[in-house]
Amino acid sequence: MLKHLARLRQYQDLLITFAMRDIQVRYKQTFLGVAWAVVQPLAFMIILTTIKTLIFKEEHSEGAPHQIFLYCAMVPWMFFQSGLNLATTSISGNLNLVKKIYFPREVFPLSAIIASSVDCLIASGIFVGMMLYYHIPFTASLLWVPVLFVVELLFVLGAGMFVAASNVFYRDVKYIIPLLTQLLFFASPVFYSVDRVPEHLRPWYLLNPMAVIIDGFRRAIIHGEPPLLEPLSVTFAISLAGCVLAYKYFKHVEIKFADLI
Amino acid sequence: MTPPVTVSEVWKRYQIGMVHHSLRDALPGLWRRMTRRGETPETESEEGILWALRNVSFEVNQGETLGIIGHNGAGKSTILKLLSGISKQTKGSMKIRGKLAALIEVGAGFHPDLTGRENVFLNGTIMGLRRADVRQLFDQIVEFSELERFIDTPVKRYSSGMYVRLGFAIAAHVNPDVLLIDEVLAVGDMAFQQKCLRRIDELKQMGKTMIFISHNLNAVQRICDRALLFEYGRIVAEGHVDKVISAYREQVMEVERRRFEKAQAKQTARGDEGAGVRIEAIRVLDAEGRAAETIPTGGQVTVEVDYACDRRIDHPTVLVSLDRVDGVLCHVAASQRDGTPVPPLEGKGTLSLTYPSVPLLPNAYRVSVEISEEGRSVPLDSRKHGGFFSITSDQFEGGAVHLDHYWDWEPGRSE
Repeated sequence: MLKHLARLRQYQDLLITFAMRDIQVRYKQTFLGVAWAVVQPLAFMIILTTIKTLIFKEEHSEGAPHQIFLYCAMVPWMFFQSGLNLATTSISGNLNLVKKIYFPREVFPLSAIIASSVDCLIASGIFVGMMLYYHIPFTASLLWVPVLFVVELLFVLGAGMFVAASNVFYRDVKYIIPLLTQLLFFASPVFYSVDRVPEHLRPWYLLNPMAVIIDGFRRAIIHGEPPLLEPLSVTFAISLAGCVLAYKYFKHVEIKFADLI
Repeated sequence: MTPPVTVSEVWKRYQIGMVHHSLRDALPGLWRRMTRRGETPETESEEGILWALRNVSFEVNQGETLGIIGHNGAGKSTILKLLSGISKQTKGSMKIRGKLAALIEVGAGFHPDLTGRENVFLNGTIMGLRRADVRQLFDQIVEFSELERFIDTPVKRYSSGMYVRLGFAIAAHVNPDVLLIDEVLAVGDMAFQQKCLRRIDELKQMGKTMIFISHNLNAVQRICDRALLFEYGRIVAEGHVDKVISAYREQVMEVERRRFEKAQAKQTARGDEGAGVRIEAIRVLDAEGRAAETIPTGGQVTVEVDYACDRRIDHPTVLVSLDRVDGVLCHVAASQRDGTPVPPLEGKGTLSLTYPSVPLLPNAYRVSVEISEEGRSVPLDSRKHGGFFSITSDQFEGGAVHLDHYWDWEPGRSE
């Protein structure tokens, strides 16, 4: 595994170039350009805010305005969703390169995920404005934000490498992933609070890494408190183990890609 | 020091057909495998399997250029895929010393939406360069590609020639220890092809080790020191490039002869369009008047054409052309232009055309015949590739034709 990582290091410039390619290509010939990175989570936030106020008649969520409560979830959720989706087809969609030129294949899912994370960072810029607007104090808890981001990145990398490799063998994966993410969307506290989950189910509920991460972002940004530490350590362990196993699996099957794609 | 490339006893197996891309297809296969376990797996596993390489071993020495030739499907590209690490051998081992770059399909890594400039960086890093290296080489690459004016245009607006030029320019500047080149010269115009060959010569002089795969035998002969001939996944000839190329030519002649005979068998039952004359048969004869299969370089060749007329043709003209199997037109003889009027044709008869000395070099050649009538633009009858012969020679010369030549030198004089 270390051997693979050393090799990957030699290709770090390729990784960067690929991620740049993904970002450049995504917003070429669009009118709004990079603004799309902000528009998407913002639009979702507005839709869900409307549903919450008009249909559920809720005045606030966890004592905070719906807008920031929802945006706190939208940004990490969109990163997870788009990272996973882009990773799924990152190898099968680059048939030409896989069949013609050799370089470590993990460059494909990794660069796709890096590109999504850049979108996520751009979208995060809005937070500063929102916190000022809603008078939310800037506290030391904000230091948890980068930690949570790294945990999520590990989780997405593991999942992404696994689905990217599997999709080469079975194109079914491409159809299963949107279904599963849809499912996970409802199993994560995106438009509701973790407090709404029945007490006795909560330990199980918090085994979902996205639940812990989203809840963590809310605590750190809105409430100025640390994430739930015990579930977060479990999530970190799951993500790290997942990442290592996925990478091992990926390197094991990598050599078959060119023959099978 | 070990040679840069060592390939020993390599086998490569491909599964043909029976590849599962969806779970629904794979599950029955899995079930079958589980339930039939123990039932003669050997015989069953042999079907749907293709051995693309069978026990292939060779070495490439430092600074050497090795050519690999053979028919389509002989295993040439497979060996390149294995060498570049895209795919893995089923059995055997291969060792590569130093950095390797493959020029397998120029422009494979281009993204259509990105500009030429962005693609230079993308493709350069794909080939293992650092961004800083690309920046340094950038001007040289652009100059080589002659695309200065279009470098900030998205490559999707490039013509295919421009695409190839940029692709080759990048690859030619990567500067690896071992360079693999697969059939890249088939594209681009003549001037650019020459430029590519010159660049390859330059790389050779810099002492690069290269493996060159091409159907362009002239290019192989020009560039390579040594060659391997592949057939059905095996190396069937190896050694000096000239020797291997003539072995390949013999193979090609054999294949062409079989193809010709097959086509002939089909043609006999062909109908008559009623234009007045039919070409019944074409024979190629040697100096002794025997039906010739092979003729030595410089020997005599006679083409005889049997015809049958339905009406009298007062002013016939006959055209005989020779072309080499790779499509090069070698000679056209037209009775009209030669100033030898063909007498009026009537009934059945035989025309003949003699080449007293044919200077063509060893290869397979085909004869086409057309009979026309003055004042008509469409031939009355024609037989494309109706005759076939091959030329052999025991001496070796490069190129297309034999030219008489002699050497002369005076020791101790130079200006």
